[in-house]
Amino acid sequence: MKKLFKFEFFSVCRILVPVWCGTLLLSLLIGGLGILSAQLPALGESLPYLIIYTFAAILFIFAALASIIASVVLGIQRFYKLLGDQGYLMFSLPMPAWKHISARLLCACLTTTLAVAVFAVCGAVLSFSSIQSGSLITVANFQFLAFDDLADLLWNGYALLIWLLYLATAYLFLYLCMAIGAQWPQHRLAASILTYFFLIFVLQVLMMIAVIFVAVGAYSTVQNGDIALISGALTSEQTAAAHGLLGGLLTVPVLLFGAADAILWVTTHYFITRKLNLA
Amino acid sequence: MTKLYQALGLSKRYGVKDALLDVNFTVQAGRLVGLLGPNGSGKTTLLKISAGLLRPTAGDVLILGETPGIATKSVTAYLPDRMALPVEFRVCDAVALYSDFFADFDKAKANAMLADLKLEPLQRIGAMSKGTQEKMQLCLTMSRQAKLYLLDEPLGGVDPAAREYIMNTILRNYSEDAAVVISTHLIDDIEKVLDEVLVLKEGRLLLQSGVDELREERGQSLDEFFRDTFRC
Repeated sequence: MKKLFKFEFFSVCRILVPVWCGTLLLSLLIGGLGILSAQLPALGESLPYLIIYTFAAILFIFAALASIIASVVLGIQRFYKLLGDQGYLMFSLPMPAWKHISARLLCACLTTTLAVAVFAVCGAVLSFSSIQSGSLITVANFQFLAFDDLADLLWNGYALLIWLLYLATAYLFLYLCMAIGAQWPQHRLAASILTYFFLIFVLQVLMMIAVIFVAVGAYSTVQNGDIALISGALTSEQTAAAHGLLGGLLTVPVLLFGAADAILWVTTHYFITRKLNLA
Repeated sequence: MTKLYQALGLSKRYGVKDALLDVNFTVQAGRLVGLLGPNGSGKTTLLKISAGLLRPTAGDVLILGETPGIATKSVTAYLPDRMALPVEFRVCDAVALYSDFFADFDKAKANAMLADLKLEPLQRIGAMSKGTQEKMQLCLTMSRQAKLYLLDEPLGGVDPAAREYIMNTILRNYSEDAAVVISTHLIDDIEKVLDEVLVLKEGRLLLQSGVDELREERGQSLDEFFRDTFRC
């Protein structure tokens, strides 16, 4: 599993790292130009500077978008190729199919997260250039990374967990669409796309039904007279209960995404083991 | 002799079409077997099931007594009828992949064979000609010390000189306690080296015979037998 992940990761990074580096360099260039114009206002108003700055800014926007889009596209493409010609080699390796899914999923989630992190770093670099003093780095600029207390750390950890679970759900959903589409090897791409739209439609219908149930339940709660919860005039016991409810609600996305990931995983695994049909 | 590779009542159905129907055979270790048949006779389907890339509808394939899975994949070297290596790979990447995942892969042998093909380690697979890609893939497959080699159309789509190279590579590199199954249409090139043939027709096993026995019985070469049997 480690070898497979390493192979996947290096294959993907070979393409993404140059894009990320290019994006970072462009952000450094724009940041540098910004600082330069702060130090030399006359230069900042000159036409050549404005042209270079605008050109660099446009390039940066494209590069930043490309770095995130490329990581997503590669995450999808690696699995798509697994169900094509490359599957003839990969599925003949002496390892279970679940390791192929895991390696590609982990790699896709990691590289997408790294792409977003690169984007965030670029944003931080660009924000430095707007400092009036012109100083490149101050402690104040790293405040967004600081954890003031345990609550901050927990919130950030929770947000990261939700982000990773969400990414896994998104990729596993696409993997499932491709695994179902692969049942028609001669029309694999079209079948995968159609499967995607069909499953999205089914999920939207289910979501609508779920929303109706939740809305009806909430309406009943209001009708039953729990006005205190809504008005905010809570007793200490009600406050504790509200905190408990909030804590419970925070676990709901984790459980929902976790359950979705499990269902998607099992179904995808079924299709690429029991129903594998390489073109 | 060891029953290395067996099919027992093997069938595979795609929708309403039977790609394989009740195929039974046994291949012993040390045999070079030709898997012959016209297009659509089920050769590739048989090899894919044996390599663990496809599940049969009925029956079983046994390799050293086990159904296709992780254990059989570690002793079976499969060469597909298409380019399965990522074309963005370099030669060294492909060697590293085989070396990492196949315990029986002989890296030194692979490097020597690739050097014979005048392939540089940093050369991209995508930049090679089709024939060179196929030769490279064959060299990597034959660099494994496998018990069973399944080669799907290794001679197809390449020039006669390349076909001779491929045949020599196969003959020089498989071990005598292994079996080699080669599917091909190009019977002329392969007839003189085969020990046995499995002939498929419309998903059924028409014949399993030693090549010498077949020649004596029929008074024809394998190529002539094939042309007579599958005349359009």
